[in-house]
Order: sequence, then structure tokens, then C-alpha cells
Amino acid sequence: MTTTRMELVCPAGTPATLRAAVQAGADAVYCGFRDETNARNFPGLNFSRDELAEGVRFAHDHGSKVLVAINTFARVDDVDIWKKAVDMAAESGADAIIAADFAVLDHVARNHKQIRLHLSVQAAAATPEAIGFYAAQFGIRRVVLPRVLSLQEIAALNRAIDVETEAFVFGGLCVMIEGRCYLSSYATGKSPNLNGVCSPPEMVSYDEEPSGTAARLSGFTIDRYGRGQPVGYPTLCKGRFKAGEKTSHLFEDPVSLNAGGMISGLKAAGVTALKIEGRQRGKGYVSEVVRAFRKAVDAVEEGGEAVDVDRLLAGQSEGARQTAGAYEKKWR
Amino acid sequence: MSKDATAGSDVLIKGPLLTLLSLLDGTLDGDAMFFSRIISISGRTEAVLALRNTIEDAELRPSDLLGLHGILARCVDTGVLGALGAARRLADNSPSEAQKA
Repeated sequence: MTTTRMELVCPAGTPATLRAAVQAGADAVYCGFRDETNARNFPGLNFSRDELAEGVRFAHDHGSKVLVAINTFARVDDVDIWKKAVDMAAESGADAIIAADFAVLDHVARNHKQIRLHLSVQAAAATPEAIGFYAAQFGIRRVVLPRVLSLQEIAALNRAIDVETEAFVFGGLCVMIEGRCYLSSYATGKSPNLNGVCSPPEMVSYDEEPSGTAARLSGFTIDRYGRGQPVGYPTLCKGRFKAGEKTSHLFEDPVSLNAGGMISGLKAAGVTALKIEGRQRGKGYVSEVVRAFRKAVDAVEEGGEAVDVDRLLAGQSEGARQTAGAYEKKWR
Repeated sequence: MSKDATAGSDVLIKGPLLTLLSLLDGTLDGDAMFFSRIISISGRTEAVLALRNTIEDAELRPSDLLGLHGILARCVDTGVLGALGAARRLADNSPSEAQKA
């Protein structure tokens, strides 16, 4: 059991959302630059150098930290774009850089020793050996855990490693083995891992047809929705496909993670920080989710029961459904 | 809106007026409204996303949309935002609750 209070790490896609997250009670806010160096590279989203510096000032004035995600994988002929992003993040006075790529981790470790280094979920490091390697090579202080581990596995992992762990508690889920998804690049030529976009919006279309609304990605029909039927993001992993005469969500269901009921379990497993997904979401989402989790975390830290986060946040969830994900998994 | 009015548009965002206004002031989240089919979009998805993210960050107030400044702007903002909040509370209540009120 950790003795310090758990840190609530919240998403911000824009400066206005950063302020909303801080005001809703975020201990730390994570964000990225307006380019391919982070995994939420969408039009109109993210921060310029000046906006980040201003965001850091605002967060620090209110007692919150800023973590900068530079978590895509650098291209062999363009590593300087990623290195420059690291330099700008360090200059902004941010508290940590979240990275996955060896070149980016190495650049931080060699040139910016004063800034904390967090290993992104994109690195998919889930064993003491892998995490130990990153700690020894690059001095990482925290690892963001892949969303494939049960509470028992997280507890065992924390007993075997010397760095902090950060666990996702709410928001979109990814197909397993994060950082190695090729579905989007197969259909569009752009990937979340390299370009920071899965399903680039210019290749997404919604067409009204007699059989319902068809969601398409680069010409591939991902799903057809009846009137009023809840939908998810237009990604291949959450599409419905026909295989063996059966139509189903072949890869994963369009549901959101909600581990609001597991905060005390995650604390007991030695987790340092709880992360909310959703840098692509609006202020309405960030304010509501952060406020609910702030209340829940405070209740657990005071020794009480977590408030009913599930009920509070059902309206914000992808596909209007929620899951506790792998935390209580019974499968292997 | 008539078909003529929307013909030739690059994007179309459909939804109840109160919801669309609440997206403008950032009270509601566009993705959440989209997941539950309260709003629907068609046309150029990247333009919808860019518009939504820009509006989110701009923190627009009613006076910005009307091009007002100074005391008049503050009065309009207070009045319109207050009315919007009241309308939302009314819409959130079940019909029977609203009748009781």
C-alpha cells in the first residue's frame, strides 16, 4: 500500500481544456504539441510552444503539474522533429516528458536530466525486465501501464520494480499491445504510432443510407448504425465485420474503460497515479470526468468508499457502455 | 432547415438547438453527444473536428457571436448564459418534474 496520495492525471487537448482540468481538480495535466510527435494529432487540437509555456504557468500557479506527451515513434530521417519537441517541452518548465521511442528517451536522458521521464503506454512495457531496462538505460521515473494487466499482476509488478506506475482509469481503450497497431496504416497509410492519428479524420465519412448510417474509413465500411443506436469512434478495431457467416465486433467492442470502482484496489496494488484518457475530448467531458474522479480519489484517500463513478459518467462513454477492462480479467 | 439551405455545404451538423448551443459554450462534449446519436455529422469530417476543437479553445461567449463589447456584452452574456442554463435544467428534468416546478 502506498502511503502518499495518488495523483490524478488528466487530459488536455487545448489550453482552455487544460484550465478546465486544473480547475476541476487535476493533480497533473498531460498534453502534446500541434504535430505528429504525439498520439492525438488531430486538426485544431494541441499546443504551440507559447501555449504550452502559458499552460505550465497556469497549472503551476494552481498547484498542478504538466506532463508533455511526445509519445509517437520517430522516423529515421526526421528524428529532429521529436528532439525539438523535447527541447521545447523542457524549456516550457513542464514537469515531465512522456515518451516511448528509444531516440526520444535517449535525447531526454542525455540532454535534459532535470526533467522527469515517464515511459508512455505506447512502449507496452509490462514486465519487470522491460521496465528495468528502460530505468537502467534512460532513468525513467514512471511507467504508464499497458491496459492488459489485472490488479494482481500490477501488484506483483510493483513489488518487482523501483519506478512509479500510472494506470488508466477512464476513457477509450486500445487493442492489445499498444504501440504496435497496424490496422489504421493498413486502411489509410497513417498510423497512431508514427503519425499520431488512427483513423485520420480526412479519411472518415458518415453516409446516410436506407440501411442506416454507414461509417467509412478510406472507403472501408466500418459499421452501419440504426437510428438512435449508440456509436463508437470510427476506428477499424471497433468496427463490425462479417467473418464465418457471423457479424460481430471482431477486434473489440466500442466501450469505454471505467475503473472508478477499483481505485482502492489500484492503491493497494501500489499504483502512484491514475490516468484519464481523452485529449481529443471537450471541456464538458474533461470537467465532468475529472470532478467525478477527484471526488472518488479523495474519498478513497480519506479511507471511505469511492463514490458511484459508473453512474455519474455513463453519458460520456464511447458506445454508451463501460467496462473494467483487464483489471478484473479472468481470461489469459 | 430547408434542403436548399444546406445544399452545397461542406459539413452538416444536426442536433437539437439547445444541444448545439451547449456545444458552443463547452458545457457539453461533442463526442459524448455523437456517441449517443443526439447529434449527427456528415460531410468533411476533418472540417467538423477542426471547427469543434477551435470553438472549444476559443471559449466563445454570446457577446462574441454578436460582436458586442463592454457593459452591453457583459449584460448579454449574463442573460443568455443564465437563460441557457435554465433551459438545460428544464430539459434535464422529466416532464412530470417540470410540471411540478
